[in-house]
Parts: sequence; C-alpha cells; structure tokens
Amino acid sequence: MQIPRMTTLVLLLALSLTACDDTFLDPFDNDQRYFTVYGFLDPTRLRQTVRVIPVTRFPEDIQGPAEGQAFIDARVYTRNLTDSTSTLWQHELKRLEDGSYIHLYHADFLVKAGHTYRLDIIRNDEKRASATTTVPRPPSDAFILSEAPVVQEDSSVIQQIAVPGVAALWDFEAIYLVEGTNYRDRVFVPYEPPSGPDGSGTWQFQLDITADQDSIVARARRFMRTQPLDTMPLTLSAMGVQFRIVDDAWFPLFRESDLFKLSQPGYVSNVVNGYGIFGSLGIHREEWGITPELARTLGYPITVDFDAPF
Amino acid sequence: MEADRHRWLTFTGALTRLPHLAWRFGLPVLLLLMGHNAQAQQSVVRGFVTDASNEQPLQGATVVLRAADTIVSGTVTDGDGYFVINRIPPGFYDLVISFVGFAPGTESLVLSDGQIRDVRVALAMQAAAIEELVVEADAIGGITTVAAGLETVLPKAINRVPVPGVSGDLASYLQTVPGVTVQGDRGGQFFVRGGAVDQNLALLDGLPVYMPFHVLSSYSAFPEELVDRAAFYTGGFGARYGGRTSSILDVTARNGNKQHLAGSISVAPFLSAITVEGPLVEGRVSAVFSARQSFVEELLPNLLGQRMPYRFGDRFGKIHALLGSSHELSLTFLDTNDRGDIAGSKKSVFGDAQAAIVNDSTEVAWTNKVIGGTWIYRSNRIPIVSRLTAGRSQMTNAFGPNRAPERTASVESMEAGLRMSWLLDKGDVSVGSMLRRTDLGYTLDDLFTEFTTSQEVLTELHGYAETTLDLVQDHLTVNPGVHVYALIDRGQSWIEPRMRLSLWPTGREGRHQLNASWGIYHQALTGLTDERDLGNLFTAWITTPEGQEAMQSVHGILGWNVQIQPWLSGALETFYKNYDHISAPVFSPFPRFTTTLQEASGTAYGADVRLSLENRPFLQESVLDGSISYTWSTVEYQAGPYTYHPAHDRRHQLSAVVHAQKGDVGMIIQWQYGSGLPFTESGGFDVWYRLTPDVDVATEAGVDRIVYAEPFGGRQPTYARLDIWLERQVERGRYVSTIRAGALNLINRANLFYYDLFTFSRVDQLPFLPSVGFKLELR
Repeated sequence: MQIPRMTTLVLLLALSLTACDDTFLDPFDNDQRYFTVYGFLDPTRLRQTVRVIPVTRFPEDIQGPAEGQAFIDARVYTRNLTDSTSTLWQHELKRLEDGSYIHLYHADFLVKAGHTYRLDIIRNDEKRASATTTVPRPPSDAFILSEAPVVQEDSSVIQQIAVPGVAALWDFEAIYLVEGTNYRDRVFVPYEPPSGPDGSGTWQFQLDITADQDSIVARARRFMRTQPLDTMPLTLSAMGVQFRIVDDAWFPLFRESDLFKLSQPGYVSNVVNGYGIFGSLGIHREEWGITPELARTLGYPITVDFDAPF
Repeated sequence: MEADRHRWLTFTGALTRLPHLAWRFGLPVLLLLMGHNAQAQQSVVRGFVTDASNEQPLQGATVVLRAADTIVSGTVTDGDGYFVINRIPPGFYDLVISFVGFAPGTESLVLSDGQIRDVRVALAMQAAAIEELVVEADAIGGITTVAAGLETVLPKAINRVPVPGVSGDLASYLQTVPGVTVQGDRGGQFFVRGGAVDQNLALLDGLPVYMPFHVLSSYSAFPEELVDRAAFYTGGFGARYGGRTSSILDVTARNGNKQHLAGSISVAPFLSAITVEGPLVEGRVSAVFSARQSFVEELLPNLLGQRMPYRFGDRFGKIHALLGSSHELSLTFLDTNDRGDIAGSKKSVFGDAQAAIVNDSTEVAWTNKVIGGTWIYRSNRIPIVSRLTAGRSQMTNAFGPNRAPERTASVESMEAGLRMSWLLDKGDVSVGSMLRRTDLGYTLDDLFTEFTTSQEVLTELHGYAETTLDLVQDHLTVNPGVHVYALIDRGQSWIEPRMRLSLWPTGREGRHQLNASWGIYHQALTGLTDERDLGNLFTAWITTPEGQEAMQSVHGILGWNVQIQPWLSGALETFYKNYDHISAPVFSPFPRFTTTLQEASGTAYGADVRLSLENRPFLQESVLDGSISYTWSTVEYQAGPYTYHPAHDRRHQLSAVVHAQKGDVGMIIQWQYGSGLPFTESGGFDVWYRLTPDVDVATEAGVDRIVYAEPFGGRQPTYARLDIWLERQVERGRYVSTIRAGALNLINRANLFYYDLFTFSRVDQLPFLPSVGFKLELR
C-alpha cells in the first residue's frame, strides 16, 4: 500500500502547487518614464513648438478628437534659468495629413542665445519629465575667417571659408544678394558640411562662387520673369555665409549613423523621466558688401536669358 | 584572411592525403586489430536478431556463445539488430540470444576453420511478458553504453505519455525528458538544456527534418506506430553528428512487417491515423505507410468556447529490403503540413476589441518534405559494416494570412554520407563523411518591415572518426572521436574533439554507473526568430554572417545512474554548455521582424534528477510504473551591453508520469510544473524621430516605437498542467482494440502561451480539454 499512498501524496502536492499559483500577468513595467518629447527652440522663430507623447500601455493612435487618447494629462512650462522667467505652453490637438491627431504644445517667445531653458511636462499627479537646453551661440564676433576669392585656371572662382571654435555645426549656407533686389530675397545656397572639423577644430568650406551662379540665375528667372526684356545683366551687391549650430545635448545624435542604436529609447536623450530630445539652435550669419571690382573678380555681371527653357 | 586561407589549404591538403594516410597507418592498425583472426583462420558468427512477430530488429539483445557450460564470447546487437562475434576456434557451440520480454533463442553451431557463419534469430515474445525496458542502453556496434545526455526511446515509452488521442507521440515523450523546455502547447518550439530551437537537429533515418513538430506541440512527425527507436542526445553527442550545437534527435523508423499484413486505424478529434505495413516479398521486402490528419478545426471549431484553428497532418512511407545476406536497402518518405492561428484564443485584458486588431495576422504555416534512402553493406570477408545515406529535405515556413503571407522562408538540403564501421571484439572503429548542400531563403514584407529578401547557399563537408572500446574488463566503455566540419564555400573548417565514457565501478551487473561526455560543436546555420515575441513561430534560416565566426558550443555532462531496487532506479545528471558567436537579432524597438544581427554568447548549466518506477506490483494484480523528474537550470546570454536570461530559461521544472495497469484497463496521470519563462516587459509606447533642425514635428508623424524594459527582465507566471487518461485494451487474436478517454489540463488552469505587448492581450495554452479516441490494430 506504500506506493498508492505515495502516488496520492505526489498528486495532492502537485494539485496544491498548481492551484496556489496565480497566472495573472501584467507585462507593463514603467513607473519612471512619463513622457516623450521632441522639439527644439529656434531663435529665428517667435513661435516655439514641441510634440509630447505620453508613455502609456498602448501606442498613440488618435483618430478623432473625442477619443480617450485625444485628452492628455500634461501641462508644459519652460523656465528660462538665466533670467528666471517662466512660460506656459498651449496645447493643440493637431490633425496630420493622414487623418490622425497628435499632441503639440506651442509658446510664443524670443529665444535668447546663451540662455538656458528647462522644459517641464507635468501630470496632474505632479509626476514630471523635464529637459534642459542651452541655446548655443558663436564664441566670438570675429567668427568667420574668409580668404580672398581665387580665380582658378578654368576661370572659375572659389573662396575659402573657415569656421573655428564650433563643435556642433549643423548646416552651412552661402548667401548672395543680387543688386536691385530686396534684402529678404537673398539667395541661400546650402553646402554639405564636412564630416567634422579639422585637427585645429576648424570647419573648412570652399565656396564655389561660379557654380552658385546657377542658383542665382534660377532664382532670378523665377522672380523676375514679368519684366519686359528678354535678357538682363545681373550682379551682386553683397554676399555672406550663415550656419546653424545645435546644443551640446542634441549634437551626439548626428554623430551616430546606426539607426538601431539611435532608435533605442534613451540612447540619445536629454529628457529626465522620459525619452526624446529637447534641443535648441544657434544661428550665425556674416555678410559683406561687394564692390564692382570684386564683383568682376567673382565673374559678374552675368546675363540672364528669360526666354531660355527652365 | 591569409591565416584562414592557410588553414583551409592545410585542411584540404590533409583531405587529399587521407587515402594515403589511411593506407599507410590505418591498414596496419586494422590488421593488428584483426590480425589474430587472419592468422589463425578462426571462425566468425554474425547475424540479426529480430522480433518474430514483425521482423523488427531488436537492439540491445544479448548474444552469448557457449561451449558446453563455458561462455566463450558475447556481445549485444546494434540498432539494426546486428551482431558479430570474431575469433572463434573451430568446434561445437550453442548461440544463446536473450532479450527482455522475449523467450530466449538458442542455435547450435558447428564451426570449421575460417568459416563465416550467418544466422538469423527471431525471438518470440513471452506469454507473460515483462514490460519492456523503456529507457535502455545505447548499442553502437555491439557495445552497450548508457551515456550522459542520451536517452534511447522505444515505442512503448512513447505510448505511456498521453496525448489527446489513442497513440503516443515522440513529441509528448520529449516534454517529459529532464532539460527539455517547451514554449507552449502550440508551435512545437523545443529548447534543450539551454540551447535554442535552431540548434537542435532532428533526423529521420539519417535525414534532417527541419521542423518536425506539429502546430499542437503534443504531436510530431514521429508517432508511436512509426518509431522503431529514437536516440535523443540533450548534449555531449558523439563524433558522428555535426552541424548543430545543442541536441540531436535521431529517429529510426520501422521497417515494416516482413511476415504478414498488419496495421492500425485510429479515430480521434485531434488526430486520426491509418497505418498499413506488410511484406512485399515475404521475409525479404517490407513496406510501411501511414497517413495522419487532424480534424479538430472541422469537428470542434469551438470546443468549450475555445477556438481550435489548427490543421495539421503527415504522410510517411518506408520500403525496406534485405538483398542477400550482405545488403539492405531502405527508402523513406515523409511529408508534413501545419497551419494554425497561434492567437486563436487571444483575449485582451482590456476587452475583445483590442484583441481583434491583430487576430488576422498571426497565422503560421509550415511544411516538411523528406525523401531519401540508405544502403547497408556487411562484408562477408571482414567485419565491416558500410552505410550509405542520401536524400533531400525541404522545409517551408510562412507567417501571415494564408493566401498572402507577409513572411516566407525555406530551407532545402541535399546530402550524401557514408559511414564505415569495423566491428571489433571489444568495440568498433567508425569513420564517415557527409556532404550537404543547403539552399536558404526568406522574404519579409510585413506591414512594418521594408521588403527584404535573401537567398543563400551553404555547402558543408563533415568527416569523422570514432571508436567505442570496452576496457578494464568491461568496467569502462570509452567513445572518443573527432569531427571535422568544413564550409567549402567559405574555406573555413573546425576540428571538434568528442568524448563519451561510461564506468561501472562494480561491474555491469552492479548498481552504479557513472557517465560523462564532452565535446566541441560548431554550427553555420542560424534560424532567426524574434525571441521577444513569444508567439512568433516564424523562422528565417540564414548562414553565419560574413566575417563572423560560426556559432561554437562546448558541452560537458556528468551523470550517475543507480539501481535502488529492482523496480526503482535513479539518475542524476549535471550539464554545462557554453555558447559563442550566436547570431541573435538586435533588440529593435520597432514592432517588426528584424534580420539585423548582433553577436551574442551564453552559458547554460544545471542538474536534473529522475526516479523511475518499473513494473512495481501493487494492490491486486496491478502494475505501476512511471517516473518523476526535477530539473534546475539557468541560461544566461550576453549581447551588446545586456546580460540576460533568454526566453527559454526555465529555472525549475517538475514532471511526473504515472501509469497503472490492471488487466486490460490502464490509467495514466501526467503532471508538469515549470517556473515562469523570462520575457521582456513593456515600458509603454511612444514615437521616434531622428530629430534634426529640418524635421517639423508639427507635420511629421514619426515612427511608432515600443519602449521595451530591460531585455527578458520579467518572468511569466508558472506553468502547470495535470492530464489524466483511462484506457481499455481488448485483444481478440491478432486484433487489438483500444479506447482511450481523458482530459488535458484537468483543473482548467490558465497557462500563459504568450502575451502580445502591442495589444496587451494574452493567449493561453489549451484549457480543460476532454478527448476520446478509438484504435483498432491488426498485429
């Protein structure tokens, strides 16, 4: 009789172990990260915008303004830590082209270079995610090191531009002001920045002034096509360069090309208790006048043929 | 590269010199081993031992040669029922053959000088047969070793583990083996002692079956009726196997009855089957054919409120011929098909609406096709057995809607291999080689995945040499060997030493046996799955990425077997596996299948203990047998910055099977308990932008992203299931009818299969599920 007793005992033990266990599972494990935020402060704009996504159990999929996810438990503030002013951002449920909705927050204020701003996104239970950015600005007034234009053997004209002392340069553009046009109608020609500064920490650009004439001519033909002449001479009255730099917290994102790394939550993020990026831009522009002599050296005037096909 | 090239040239040079080296060194050794025989012109007795009822070979039968009352020599039969006894002086002898459950057979022999005597002995089952041993010794070339990490499984053992139906299935049996972790009762994903699913190799008559398990994990392509025997290595396998780093399941199918027509027909909702076997040429050529098909989808689409969207089946055929006294030829064919909606029972914890979102995209389907043959030659002059195997294996896998799957993958391999064994008095020496060309491909076109397609070819050359020797007056059996694995297209090769040994401190009749095995293994194929998606049964097969070493594993196993009582035995095994250069998918935060890989490494170790009860009489005229086992193990991977326990790290596992028989009525109770498997928890969802100053977050939507918590940082709830079955078997002459009724998951426990993090809905394993089946056999 020992064996049946032992079997019964084993079965009872098995059943009791089986019955006592709970099979419930809640795979959601997040009590520390509340919001994801994307956006940056832009000193060239008055209206600043960020997108806020609550980090919740379900993906954000808002198809109508009456849906539960259309309501967001978040108040957004910025505090200028340099001058101790605060700004409340306004919520907008924005409809995208695909018909879905997203949560945006806007605030109107002038972003000041060199100032530090802290963004706070706060729930009603006072849980908050925050991020801080310092708006970058160039380190000195004498920023651009430009050399004289050089006429090459094939008659094309180049000009070397050096940008020292900037780590996080995002983009670079040459600016041309055509004589007789408004300042706001300047022609911007983008240049691809090199992969990084040289050994002395200087970014080197070579403006191809002759090649840039194509952009100037195209712009002229687009905006001056109503004038009565078939052709028209065109010369420059000023030129310059402009570049934007991003803040130190944001810049590492551009040094990484591996999308899997970049997309890992928190891989490049300055958001405390959340994910995403809250950055800021700095902009630097230098322009100089062009004398007729210098214009001739640069290959101007040039003739624009308005009858030529685009 | 130069070092690789040099290594390759050295290897290929060595290959081209092999015949010369074999002639120069191997032949003298061989002659030395057999020299005594040749010089003295002594006799040889060899032959086959079979089951008289169906001519199936009996592996492990004891063959003793007696002269008067003196034992002259002895051996045991190998997997083909074959034995050979060399160096017999001329004289009068009795050849006595015995096997558990069978009446002994005796044959009187008169041997003259240099005679080679062929015998064929058919043993009849004893009237009151003792139950067969179900886990028995491995017999390779006449030597019996109970080896570390090896279970040899016979059909009787398979029958004792219940499935919803009348017949047993090897898949269900394997789930009771210590160290085997099953993801759930759907999909047939088996993890063996820390290895991943793609690191297992299943062989049917020597040919690979890439996805041998059916969509309901209780079933495989290896039902009880078709299995003659199966060797299941949970690690530490010998030199004859290669190309995989975790486990080997080597199934030998039945040859079929050479004496008379036999077969069976069974009807059950989950799986109905018909098997027919019989002689094509009596005593010489036999055939066995089987067809099985599930009807659960049609008959019980909503069983007790549970959707059953599963359809699977298989067709098997084998022809076996004895061609003279020296030749055997067999042809094997297998075709399987599976289709099922893995989320068939999906229910959202937040309501059905959420669950419905993904219900139509969780359909998975796969097929296998295997065709091949084996030719065996046993020399009349020298004790050499040659075995040539060739064939083709194919597997297709699809995920997504039936008519327009979003993902497809395929593997197709053709191979030919030769194994030659020299049978010695105290062991054997075997050498072999195998050439396999594998075509691999996949296409991914998910909603969230960029269209990706890949086609690859891998040509593998395997070579090996091993010996099995009885030493120290049969107290010690050693099985050293070396496997050479070469990727011909890539110029890469590896030398893999292997060792298996068994020690009987007090002799083979004693109570104790110590076992050990050790080996190095490489694998160039990787089956990509998304391990974090527990319900994902789609596997895309690829080769090791260029520039990365092939996956490598080192196994070590130590074991101790003890016969506590004649009816009670125990076994304790410890194992260690180390893995390097695993190609694992990166931890992508996007809801999609990824083929971007990261290199991982890992270790697995643990121990298991098992008590087995054999034929223990109890109550009145009743017999009890069964087993209870407990496994503790841990698996740890390192990938990138993460150290984690992967999805198959089941820390504790208990399994018990009890079979009670009284007369023609039997009862089987099975209970399984496992601690929770790891999974990656969700930290919620958000959106990802690669934010640049040119991105306008007010107009661009970004990409949906899941915020995974620490990889595999969570644990699922524990798993437990109690099954109970009653059966009655009635014999009328050659006809045997069996009816089996019972239930899976008797207490209707909600065991988790997987959790869909995207909808927060769970899929449970099968609930309380009653079943009844009927089988009629003609034996």
